[in-house]
Amino acid sequence: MKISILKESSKTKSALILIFWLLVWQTVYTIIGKDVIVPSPMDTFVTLSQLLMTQGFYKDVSATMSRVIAGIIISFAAGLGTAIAAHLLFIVKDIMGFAVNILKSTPVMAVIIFALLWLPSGNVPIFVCFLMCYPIVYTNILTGFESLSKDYIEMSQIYRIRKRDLVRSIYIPFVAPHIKSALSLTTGLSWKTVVAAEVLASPMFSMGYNLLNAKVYLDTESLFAWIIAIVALSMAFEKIVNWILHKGKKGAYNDRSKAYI
Amino acid sequence: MIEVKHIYKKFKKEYIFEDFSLSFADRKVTSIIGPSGCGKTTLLRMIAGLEPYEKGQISGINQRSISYVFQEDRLLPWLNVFQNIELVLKSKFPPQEAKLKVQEVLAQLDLSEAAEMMPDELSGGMQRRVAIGRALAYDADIILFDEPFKGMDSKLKSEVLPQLAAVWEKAEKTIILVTHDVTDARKLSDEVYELSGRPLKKVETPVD
Repeated sequence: MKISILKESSKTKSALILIFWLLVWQTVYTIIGKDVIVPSPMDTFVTLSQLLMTQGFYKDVSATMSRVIAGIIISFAAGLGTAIAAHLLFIVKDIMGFAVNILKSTPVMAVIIFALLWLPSGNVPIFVCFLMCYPIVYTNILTGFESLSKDYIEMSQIYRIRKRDLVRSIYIPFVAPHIKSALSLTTGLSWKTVVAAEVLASPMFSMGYNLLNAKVYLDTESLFAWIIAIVALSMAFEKIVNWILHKGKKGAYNDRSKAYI
Repeated sequence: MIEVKHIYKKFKKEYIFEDFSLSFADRKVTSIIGPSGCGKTTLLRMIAGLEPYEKGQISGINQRSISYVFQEDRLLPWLNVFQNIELVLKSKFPPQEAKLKVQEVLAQLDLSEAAEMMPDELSGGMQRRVAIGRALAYDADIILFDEPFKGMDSKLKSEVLPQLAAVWEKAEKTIILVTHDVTDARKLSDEVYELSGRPLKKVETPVD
């Protein structure tokens, strides 16, 4: 009962906050009075609803989303692989540590410009997403391996625990929370980098290309409508990922192990 | 017989073992006593193969299996008591036999009712008993105990001590017990050796 009241009140709170910001937007629009600089909320939502009726919108959304998913999958595959190698070999850790530090400090735009020279425009956003997400994934997973207590490894050596039991009962419980945290951190970032790269690379089907078009034609209503669509999809994507992660929490081991997952 | 021969072991540039030798009889319980920090645990870890040493030889281990009750319980917090013990048996016994062995050892140590409990739900003494149970269930040829009664109050210790003594007598294993408590050592062991001084040298005569 108490929980449902709390949920209700948090929904009302969110709705009130949304209304507040819409009012701020309307006020700014009224003060400026120029549609080309700030469009009215009403016109923007009309444009958005028109966009939702077109087939092209869904083509662009699915193209962008598949780039986000591809970027995340590649960064996780590479991050997991290199983190395992770095955990096993000091030399890999040193080599990758250097590369990761460079990547962390590299501006997204620099990466995009380089990627434009090397790759076809449709693949640039995937590559950029991978390069931006990879350091987070690698660092998180490696931290997971490093948090693995030497005590448990010694225990497993003494009792000659089978490799598959070692991985399932010791390694995965230690590393899984770090993988989940990396996934949680990279979902938002992946959308930002993919759309930014799409704006510069302008692949045929993409949300970023539509942002660029709207800017070129000074179609501010469309620009705002696309931004709203991107933000809404990015937030929905994050919510879905967090829901899956939360679901996985219940599935692993048993309920009491939550604190460690 | 486990023979520790002419061992040299350094710790931060200082030798803590210098030409150290000591033998442990097979199928007997041998206790090592000595003040804290004298090198008892290091000796046990060297025998278990967990600690390297500069020079010397430890013989009599070869292919024999070892189980080890560490000073810390080293129970996996996400596995319950039953699963913690079962995990170490999986490599040695078929699944059904492993389960039976777990049940057997839990009964021996009065832990049957705690089988489904998670380590963080157990008292320090119970966690210790689970760690002991895990070492016993593994059915190794050599069992190393490092302060097995750590964290147990005197009442619990008086309950566990005879249980352990009975299990040891029946099991006929080569057991090395490290403790700082002379009384425990005397009660449980066939022979007691005292480590003292630095660096540790040859120990030949058991304590009377």
